[in-house]
Amino acid sequence: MNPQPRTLHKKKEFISKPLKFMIAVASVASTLGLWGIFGQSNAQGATGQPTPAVPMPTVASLVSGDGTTTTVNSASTGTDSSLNALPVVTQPPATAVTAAPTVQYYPPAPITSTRTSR
Amino acid sequence: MHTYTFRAMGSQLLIAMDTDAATLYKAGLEAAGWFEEWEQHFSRFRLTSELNELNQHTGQFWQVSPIFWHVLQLALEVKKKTEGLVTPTVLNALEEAGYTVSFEEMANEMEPYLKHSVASMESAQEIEMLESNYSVRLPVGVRLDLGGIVKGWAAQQTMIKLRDAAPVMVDAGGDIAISGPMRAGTAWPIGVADPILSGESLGLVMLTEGGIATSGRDYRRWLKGDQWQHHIIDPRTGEPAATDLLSATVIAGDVMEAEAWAKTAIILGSQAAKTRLDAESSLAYLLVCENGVLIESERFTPYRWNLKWQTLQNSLSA
Repeated sequence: MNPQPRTLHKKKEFISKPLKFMIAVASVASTLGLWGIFGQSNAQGATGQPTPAVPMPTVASLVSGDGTTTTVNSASTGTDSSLNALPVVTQPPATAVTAAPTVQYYPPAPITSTRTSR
Repeated sequence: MHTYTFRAMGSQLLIAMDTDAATLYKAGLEAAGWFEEWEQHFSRFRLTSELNELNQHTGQFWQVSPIFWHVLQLALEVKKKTEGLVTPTVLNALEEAGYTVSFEEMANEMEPYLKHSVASMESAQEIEMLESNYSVRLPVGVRLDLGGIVKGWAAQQTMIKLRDAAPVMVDAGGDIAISGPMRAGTAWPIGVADPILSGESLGLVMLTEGGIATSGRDYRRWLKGDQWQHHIIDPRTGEPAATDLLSATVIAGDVMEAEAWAKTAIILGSQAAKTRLDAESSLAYLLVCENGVLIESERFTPYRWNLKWQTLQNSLSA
């Protein structure tokens, strides 16, 4: 008797791999999206006001031309030598920022002076 | 703005004119000539001066020049206005105190020249004057010194003679006459010297007209024996004024008035001077006491340079 030819049974895949991939991606994306939406909602609830769209500080904006000085503060930058090079804004003298603007006026030079006769 | 300086009447003279340098130079030369002429009339340090001639002929009528007549009349008016405190009849007392030669020549100790008497200083009203021929008769023993008025008068005369050419300021050893505002309409900035700290200033005043003068005992003083003397005689005592004031600066309608009241203030002392000068509505003053205290009248403060003056100058120059 001739042996029956053996047939290879292949597990039937009801969901294709591309579809699985798409579902996984969508799941991750929706999770992150919802996380973000909830997070923003919490922030608004805490302050009662919309979170302002404040630009993130950058080194360039700190190094400004408004009279503030920049120095490299190695003590505050730890051991990372690349951070040592970043400028740190130091506080200018209080008067430069907080004092009311002063009017500059200059007396003229006297042409002569009155004095006891000499 | 240009200035011209020269020495006359024992003092430094300065003429400032708001004009070109050539005009000022010409005016300065003329003014130096005027001062030379006036010294020949009024200096007590020139033996041949008209003043010395008159002083050598007391007790008789002596004819004087019209200009001498005019200044003597002014001196007597000042005496009347200051109730006798600034009088031309103090020469004997000045010399008694040791002021017998010009201050530049003065040594520390001087021999008395003549014994003074208070009576001689109180006798200005006894000076007889005949206008018909400009004759003056001094009481016997009374001699005149016009130093208390003549420097201010000379500054005023110079200013009057030059003011048609350009706005002018004349400073005769600290007695300053002003013709009017400068060409741009601005005021003349004038310092007030500190009598205590040499070279320092007590402030800056802005004047558009009139005069300012300072009198004091911080410079013309000398030792006689072991006593400090100065040139401002108190006619009530016949001696250098015993006063707590070191200097007095007065702003007035003209420089002669300013000079007379500055001297009056020194003689009176701080408290009496304040009362007396406050009563004269045309005067503004700054008194410096010997302890360094400053007494400034309300009317003086507006003359001090401040932001108002800056604004005014800016608007005029715009």
